[in-house]
Amino acid sequence: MLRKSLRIMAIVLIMIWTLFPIYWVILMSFKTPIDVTTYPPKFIFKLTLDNWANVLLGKEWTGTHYETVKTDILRYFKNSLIIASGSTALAIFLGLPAAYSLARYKFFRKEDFAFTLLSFRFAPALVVVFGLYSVYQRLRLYDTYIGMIIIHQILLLPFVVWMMRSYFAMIPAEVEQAARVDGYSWWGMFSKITLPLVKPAVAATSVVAFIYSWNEFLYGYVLTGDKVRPVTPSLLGFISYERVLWGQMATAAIVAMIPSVLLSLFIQRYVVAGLSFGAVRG
Amino acid sequence: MAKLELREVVKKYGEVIALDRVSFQVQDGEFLTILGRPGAGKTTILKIIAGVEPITQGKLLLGGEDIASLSPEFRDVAMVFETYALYPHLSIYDNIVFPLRSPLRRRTLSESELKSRVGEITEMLQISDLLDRKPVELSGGQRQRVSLARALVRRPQLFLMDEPIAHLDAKLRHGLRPELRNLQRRLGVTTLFTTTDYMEALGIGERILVLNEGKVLQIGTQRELWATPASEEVGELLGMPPMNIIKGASPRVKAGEMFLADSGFKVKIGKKQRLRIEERSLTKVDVGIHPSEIRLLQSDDKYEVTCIGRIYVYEPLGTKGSLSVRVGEHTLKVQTEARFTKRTPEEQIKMYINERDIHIFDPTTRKNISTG
Repeated sequence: MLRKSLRIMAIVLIMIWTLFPIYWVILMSFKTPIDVTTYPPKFIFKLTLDNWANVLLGKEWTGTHYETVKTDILRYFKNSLIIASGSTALAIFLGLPAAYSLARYKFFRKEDFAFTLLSFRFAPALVVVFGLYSVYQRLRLYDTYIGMIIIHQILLLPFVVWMMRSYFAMIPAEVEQAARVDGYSWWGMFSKITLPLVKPAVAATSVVAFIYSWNEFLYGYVLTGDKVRPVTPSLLGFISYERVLWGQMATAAIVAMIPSVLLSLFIQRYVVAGLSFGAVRG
Repeated sequence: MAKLELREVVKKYGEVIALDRVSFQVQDGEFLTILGRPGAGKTTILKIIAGVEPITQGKLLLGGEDIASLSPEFRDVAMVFETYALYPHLSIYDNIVFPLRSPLRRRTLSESELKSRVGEITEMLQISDLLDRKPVELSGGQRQRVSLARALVRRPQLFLMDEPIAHLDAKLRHGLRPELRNLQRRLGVTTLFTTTDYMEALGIGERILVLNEGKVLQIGTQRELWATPASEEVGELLGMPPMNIIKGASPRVKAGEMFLADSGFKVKIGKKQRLRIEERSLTKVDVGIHPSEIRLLQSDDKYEVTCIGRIYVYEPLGTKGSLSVRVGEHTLKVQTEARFTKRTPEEQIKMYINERDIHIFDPTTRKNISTG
């Protein structure tokens, strides 16, 4: 009984710890600029939808009437969507064959190759990003979708390869051998047996990869101009010389957060199914 | 239908030699049993024939054609894996028809023909009520039968069966063995069948290949293996309890006859074997005697006493028994009838061994002197 209540208390504390910042940002998005900066902070205040109207619809309340202003958040949101989907698709396309080879075949310096791939994630992005900036300018990849999709492979490919490698390794080699003996070519075996078996794992890995790409900030900030800027670095646009538009920034942040939150909720179930892979042992 | 031939086949995994110059032939429609302990290389032989493992060296001929470089799907062999290797995401029915739906065989059978083919096989294997389930929902024995069914629905050139009935309960195993044999005869498909159980090998196979540590020790009928085991290892693999091997016995000549004599032990050596021993001028030999060839003597028996010992321990083995007898410094196992309770430990016992039932091996090569 006591243990149970202690457990519940611990869970409540952790929930407060993790959810409070999100809660605060949500409050902020409904505050007037004056309420946002008031100290001590207000928990009870007059709700306003001005920030939301401004960010989503481009309507600004001047005191007497609404005026149309420029808002780009939805465009940035779309950019993020294109970049994250494209990066994930490319990472899966390139990563699955690599992962399969690492799981199944012996080849020269295999483990070195696998480790080198992983080591791309060790170096701080800040070290390479300025070099990349000039390279991207020259190759005309600066401020292009394809440029962003390529650079995100540094983040996603090692992840996809290492995750999928372990899933492929879990499929008993004899199950694949049986398919070959049963009259299927390598590709027939891969598409009829191997892929269906790792499908949940591919789904889970794709979702996590998508979130990685979506949340990425630095490359998006340095390697894009206004055209393909993703939503995360675009939030900085609310900071200017004269003022910081806290309320609008909070609103944009909430919008930017939605896909990650939704996908996290979705994969919870899927990742568990994908990770508890035991059913494969036929 | 085809004749299979392996010529000097070598298979290495890195530096480890899994198969060491293996050569044998299987005639068209023949049923060959491969007997060997776990790790002897039985599975490797089947896998190189199926083509899922490449051979390192040698020749592999099926129907006179060299298939060593042919992809597994073109070899037209069916294999039952020891690990079952079922497809976990497919239903039992889909598992079994999977080979019949392969791109190479598609459209040779209609859906209703598929159904009746599957029905016939699953009926025989008593799994026809499981067709809608997934492999995870089945017990080990049921999975093994599904794996067998997946091979038997085909009409291939060759069946490769890797311990296909090892994990079934005794009743099913006994029922299935003759069924398998019948089906194989009816289809006339050349078959290789592996087992670790000598009883199974003797019961099912026309010819038996004895494999040990990647080497072929002997190929022959059950009678040949029993009467002239090619080496001590073959003797040890056959029989329960395994063959008695008396190491380092010295043959002596007395009154014109050659004897093997030790403390409490005196057996005459036949003419042929004596010749062999003398040809090789062996001073020491290893002697093998099947436990079933030793006759325990009652006091009123007229047989000559060749061996005297003391009863050490008795183990009942179901349909028979195994009696350990101390003879000098050796312990001989003797096969007895079941419920052998007439004697008590430490009691003296007399035994008779016929000279024809003695197998003499060269102690350095461990090979039978009458064959090798």
